[in-house]
Order: sequence, then C-alpha cells, then structure tokens
Amino acid sequence: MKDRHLSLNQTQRVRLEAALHELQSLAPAAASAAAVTVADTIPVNQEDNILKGHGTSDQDGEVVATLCGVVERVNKLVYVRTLRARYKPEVGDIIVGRVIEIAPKRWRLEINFSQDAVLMLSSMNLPDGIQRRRTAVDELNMRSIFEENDVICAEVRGFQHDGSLHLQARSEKYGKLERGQLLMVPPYLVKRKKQHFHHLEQYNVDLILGCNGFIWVGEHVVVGEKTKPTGGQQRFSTEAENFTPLETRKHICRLANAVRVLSALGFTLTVELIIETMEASVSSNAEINDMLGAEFYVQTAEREAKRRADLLRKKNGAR
Amino acid sequence: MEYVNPLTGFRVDGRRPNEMRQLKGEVGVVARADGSALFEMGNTRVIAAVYGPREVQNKGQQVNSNEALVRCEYRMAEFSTGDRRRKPKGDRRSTEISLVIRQTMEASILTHLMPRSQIDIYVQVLQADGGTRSACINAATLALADAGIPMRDIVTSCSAGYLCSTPLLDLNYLEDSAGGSDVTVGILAKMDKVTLLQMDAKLPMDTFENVMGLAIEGCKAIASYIQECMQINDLNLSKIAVPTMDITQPLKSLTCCGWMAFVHCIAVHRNFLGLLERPMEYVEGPVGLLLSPKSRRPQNSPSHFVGIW
Repeated sequence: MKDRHLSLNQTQRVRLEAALHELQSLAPAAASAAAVTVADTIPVNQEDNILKGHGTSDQDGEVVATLCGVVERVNKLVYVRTLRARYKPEVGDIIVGRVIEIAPKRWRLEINFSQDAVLMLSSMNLPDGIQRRRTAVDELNMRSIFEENDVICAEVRGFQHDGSLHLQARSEKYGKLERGQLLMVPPYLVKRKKQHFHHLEQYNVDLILGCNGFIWVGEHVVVGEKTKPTGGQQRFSTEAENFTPLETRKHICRLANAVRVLSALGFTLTVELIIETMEASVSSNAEINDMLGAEFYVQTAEREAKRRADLLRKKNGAR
Repeated sequence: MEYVNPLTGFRVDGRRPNEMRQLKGEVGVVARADGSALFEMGNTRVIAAVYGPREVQNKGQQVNSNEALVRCEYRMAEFSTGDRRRKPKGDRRSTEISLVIRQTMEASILTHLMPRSQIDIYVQVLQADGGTRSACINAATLALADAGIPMRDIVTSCSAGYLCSTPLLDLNYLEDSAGGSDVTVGILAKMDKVTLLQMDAKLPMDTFENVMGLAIEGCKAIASYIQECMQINDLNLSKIAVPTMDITQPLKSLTCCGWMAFVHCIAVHRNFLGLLERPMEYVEGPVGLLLSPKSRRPQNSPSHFVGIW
C-alpha cells in the first residue's frame, strides 16, 4: 500500500481504515481460503490425479506453493495466481511498451516482462500501407517509424524457439502513441477483456489498458490518420499546428490521476471505474492536482466500498 | 563483563538466553521496486528491494542462459552504526556478505523458471545492532515473495552465540563484539535444510550442536512470522482488488448458428484456397459445433483461427 506517502489527518485515517475494512469484509469468503504463501501446502484430493500448474511444486507427494497468491482450480489443474508479479504474456494480449533499443530489423521493447520483447520490422505494417518485402532501405529508415523511448501499442505474437517474446503490430490501431501519458500499474489490476482500446468520446481521449499493466491515456487519434508519412522537418511543423487543446489535456490529466489513485488503492482497473472516479472528481470540484491528495484518496476508497456493498445487496436481493 | 546475569539469568538487554528480539516485517515499502520489504530484529533495521526478473544487463555475467542470474548488493548506511566511519563501497566485509546472501537466496529461488533474465536484490542496513546478515536474508525473502518470484521454500536466518557458558539466541551488537563465537544459520524452513552456516571463533563440538540447534529454533520462529507477514499482505491485495460482482457478468455469446455460419465461411474459403489438408466435415452434437483441439490445427493456419471438421 502506498498510503504512507500521503499525509492523512486523524479523521481521514479513521475513514480510510473503515473503508478498507469494509472492502475486505465484502470480499467473498472463498478469497481468504484460497490465499497461499510460499511453502504452504495446497490441499488436494490425491485420488483424482491433479495437474500441477504454475506456482506449485511437488514435495514428498504434497503440492506446495512456490509463490504468494491465490489458488485457482480449473478441472484437474491446480495453479497459483500471483498478485504482485511481473507480467506474464499470453498470445493475443494487447500491450503497451516503450522502445529501449533499435537492433538490426527489430525494436526491443520494455513491457514489464522478465525479458525485453522484440518487435520485428517484418511483423508490422509499414507506414505506406503496402504489403511487400522489407528492404535494406526500410531497415535504415526504422528510426522514422519508432525511435528510442517511443511508447508503442502492440499485440503479443508468441514465443520464438529460443524463448524470446515476439510482438506484432499488423493493424492500424497499433503503433506509436503520442500526446498522452503512460502509467505503470501492477499487471494484476488489468484483467483480460474483449476490449482494451477505449475511445472516450465525451472527452476526446483514447484509453488503452495494456495487459502488461502499462496504461495509456492520450488524445484521441482517428484511425488511419496516424499512418500519414511523418518525416523529419514536416513532423515538427504539423505538431506545432494541431496541438492538443487545453480542455483535452485537462481530461487526460484527470483520467491519468484517476488511474493513479485507483492503482494506489489496489482496485482492479476497468473503464467504468476509471470514468466514474474521474466524474466524481469533477462533481466534487477537486482540482486535478488534488486528486492525488489524501482527501480524494479516502473518498475513492469510500465510494468503492459503497458501490460494492450496493452490488452485493442487489445480488442478494435478487435471489 | 557479565553478559548473562548469574543471579537472574537475564542478558544485558533484559532478554532470556533463548529469547529473540522483537521482529517486525513490512512489505511494499519501495514504490518503484518489483518487491520490497523492511525487516527489523530489535534495533537492527534493514530494507530490501528486489528488481526483476528483468533482461540481463551485462551479458558477460550470464553463465547459463537457461537460468536466471541472481545478483545481490549489501550495503551499510553511513548512519547505521554508532560511530560514523567512512566505508568505501567495495569493502571486503560488504562483498563477503553480498556473496553470502546471494548464495543463500539462490538456493531457494527456482531460477530455471526464469531463463534469460536477472534478479537484483539490494539490501541496505539502516540501523546495525548485530545480526545484520540474518536480518538481510529475512528481508530479502520477504521482498522476493512480494516480487512474485517462485521459491522452493522460505529462507530464514538467525544467529546464536556462546557467552558465559550459555548459548544465546540472536546476539545484539554488544554480545556480538564480546569476542565469543557467533554462529549464523540460514535454513529452508519447511524442508529443514541448511543453506547457510557461518561461525566466528571456535566452539567445542558438543556446544556447537547446542548453539546451532538454538539458532535453527530461532530460524523457525522467524519463518512463521515471515509467513504471517506474507499472508496479511496477500489477503489485503487479493481482497481489495477483486470486484465482487464484475466477474460474474454474463458472457455475451454469439448464437450458435451464427458461429457455425462464420466458421463455415472461413473453412470453405480456406478449403478453396487448398489450405486444408483434408476435407472438412461437421460433427453433429448438442452444441452444434466442435472446436478442434490445438494439436489438430493444420500448420499453416494462423494461430487465432480454430477450424472445425
């Protein structure tokens, strides 16, 4: 928990504790039963031959956890889902990463995985949009596509035979991300969903929830427009012309701060929750910078506790 | 000087010979690290931060690319001791303790699960009052667990000494510098295996066994405390993160016939192109379609496509 960085006063501390306590009490009872730590024995029925998945090992015929987390059971498979760990890629995940190196025919990206991901020149669409073999000239012009420290959105293609992770960006929605903020949150807070790209029309903002815990909040880009050739001098002139309006920039900052608050509290990030938090900040007249302060932090915790309590009540009432 | 009071049997700081100092563990103290922990044993206070598994920075250090490379750096803060002595970074004591901690932790980390990567453990002594290497190992264990790095078992460490013909558990600075022998033991708590054993000065064989037995008891007590710390942290994270309801929302499923038609289109199209090795056929069943298992997928079909036949 990062609330140590906040200077809470006495009332706020009490309120926060109450809210967190309520959140914990609202969690399903199964959650506490399934939590394991390193070297805990996982109770299994030895007769139905189970499959030991990630985070488990066999010691003297017992299944023992090698990680801290939550035990998940899928039919015969028993595995431990970690909470605070690095990202574990799965094929097809949408991720946001940062270019750290340009190597021959490939970019190396930092994606919060145990190794750097590789984006091959051949596994992305060229800016001119033509399908053709990549030539030596393309290879020399790689910096005109992505430079070091650029933020990129891509998809996980899979592991190569040598164990390296390859990405692909074969669609117009992938590519360089500009005019926005990159936020890094623990990957367990982002759940795999159908939709990871979100265009928030009311704010003219794009929100990308990368499965690796990198979250992009930026100005909305019309798909197809960003494939315009952007070379050298021309780029600077266009950048100066169509700058991001102040209103949009404020929205970006508000959304980004909402994500920061939610991740500091440790809530699973969904678009609905982010927008709700942002709107709450607007309606409570909180300044953008006050969103990271103690008062809003406590308010967010209380609001979420209330929301979950209401949901639970509704669910129980329906039964 | 009397280290154990002959009348009461208490030590200089008021503990009994087999009593440990107060333990305190806190997880998640460094925001930018993958895992971090603060560990206190009485007045000894240590902070550990774990970065990784991450890409190997210095490829020359990598011995075996099928295993993760574990690195460790032990440092004492300038202000950690009573007298403020200038200690250069590369002093021999720090280097030795870094090596000891690295080897101890490496015995527990399942390095083969994280190939082509490295794990950095930084331990910093904030307050030194004896038993810093034990405290560092305990802090490192907590930090590694916080970072979600798979481990065989919990490694804990504790020291014990022999003064005034009494075995003493968990020596403080005063007792440590008394000149008696000092045994530091590190164990894998559940598996009952020793991963670290160091001793300064000499001890007779039978006394050594007693002292080591005492240190192992101490290790086990620390292990149960550390596990408690992990458990609390684990529960806090998992309970707060999980939205009670959001997971149970119904799947928006396409109707079965819609799927059939869609898959059929693709399959016919692919068949037309001559991409399928064998003619396709439908499997009639209650669901209406049967998705082929991965192994039966033709080699040339893209990974996201699952055909039926």
